Amino acid sequence: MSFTNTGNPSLPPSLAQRAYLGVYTYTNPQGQIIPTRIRWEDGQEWEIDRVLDIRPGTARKAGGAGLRYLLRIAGQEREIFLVDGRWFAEVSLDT
Amino acid sequence: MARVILHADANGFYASVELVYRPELRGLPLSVGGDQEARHGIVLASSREAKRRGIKTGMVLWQARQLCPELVILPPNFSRYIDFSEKLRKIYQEYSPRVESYGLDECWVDISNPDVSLEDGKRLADELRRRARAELGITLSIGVSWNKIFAKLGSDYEKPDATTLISPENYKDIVWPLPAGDLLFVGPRTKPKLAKYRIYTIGDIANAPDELLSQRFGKVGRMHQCHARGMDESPVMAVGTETAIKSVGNSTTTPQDMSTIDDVRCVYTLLSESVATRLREAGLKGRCISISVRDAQLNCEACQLSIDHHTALAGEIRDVAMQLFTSRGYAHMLPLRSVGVSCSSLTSFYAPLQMDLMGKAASWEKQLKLAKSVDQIRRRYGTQIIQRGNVLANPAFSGINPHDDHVVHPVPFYAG
Repeated sequence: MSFTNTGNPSLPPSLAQRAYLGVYTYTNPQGQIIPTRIRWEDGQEWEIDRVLDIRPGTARKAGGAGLRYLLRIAGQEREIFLVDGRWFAEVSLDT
Repeated sequence: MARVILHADANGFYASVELVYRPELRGLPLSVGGDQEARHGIVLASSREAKRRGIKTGMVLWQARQLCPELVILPPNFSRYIDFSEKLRKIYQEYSPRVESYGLDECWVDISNPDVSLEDGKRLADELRRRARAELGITLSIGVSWNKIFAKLGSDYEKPDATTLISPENYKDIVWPLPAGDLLFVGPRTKPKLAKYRIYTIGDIANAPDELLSQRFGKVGRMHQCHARGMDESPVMAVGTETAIKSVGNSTTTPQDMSTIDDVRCVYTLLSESVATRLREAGLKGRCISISVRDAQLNCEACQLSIDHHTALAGEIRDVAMQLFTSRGYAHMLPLRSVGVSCSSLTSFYAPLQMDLMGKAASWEKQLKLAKSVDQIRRRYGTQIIQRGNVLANPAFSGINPHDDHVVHPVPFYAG
């Protein structure tokens, strides 16, 4: 994200980055958007086993407020976010 | 039936919203402020850490920076704040249709129902705070009471992320010791006047003899006293931030200080043009003209004057503004940093005109035709295509475009 620096002191580094995803979705009759398959930055695609939870929430490390999806992908739980019309996962920078 | 009213106030709203998008800045003193280069640079909102360092809303950015060199200043992002404000409103509206916005960051919510108690109100307030935190990442202070005034006081009482219940049992202990200025509508001008009668706290207002306040302060005095006694009965209205227009105004901080009366006249000409155009666009005209001025030390003055007819003409508004400016001796405040003019006591544009002997009405209509033609030209070719001579003569200020730059307004308390 860019912003005009108004002469700020040196700022701390981001806690995490947004890894933007391509997402195949299905809109159910209730109007909920259900992701079915995601496409990672490197082009690899993953089937979503199950959507465990959908609720409004915030990405606490990469920043942003929108919808938080808890998914099971390849047997693992994973959070992804839908914020301002784009899907992303949080990728920690400290590792 | 006793009412149950919540007043929710988003703590350091703009700053909190920025932190949701930049979590790595949490814990740092942070302010959201206007554009430094265009000199609109004042602090609009601050994080808790910045407030603790003495940063206050309205402070000029360089002053804030002097006070706290490590202050992080982010430019405002209004569309995002409006978005968050709407999301908050949607949460409130799940519990009641009676949600009244008061600016972007404050709302009253009326959840009165025969089987709802103030205690239930407190529980709902805690739930709302939890949801705001989880879903939007921001904190709320909520006051719960049986009237709007005390609910608002409650939301100011403990910050951040707290619920304060003000009930008929405890209001004398909580509200009455507070300074008189904490009461909604008791401003910096009323406070010293009250102090003259040894009225310092809200309790003093409540317990003052009825005649004293109504004689000295008229209707407003009686209103303050009702408020202090918890007798406010104004309803929570289902209104958003787009309430019926009560006044149309513009103000501007000029790129360089206004140092002469001519500079001031030039800026008032621009502002009046914008106000008049916006009045005509909204199908309105008004007869109460107010002006505000602010000098380089940020001292503010404001005054108003009602004229004998409604107008939507820039020239008339400008002349009244200048008349107010000179008659109030504001020239002594030069150089000025910003000025504003607004027009209230509005009526429909098509309300009949009082015909008078001197034929003023006829000339008014003629000028109106001219103004409307200018509106049309501007709509086609842009606001700055046609300008008044005294504005063109002053290139330092002629770039200001209040009509197109104009943004959001706070909402009146008593709508309609």
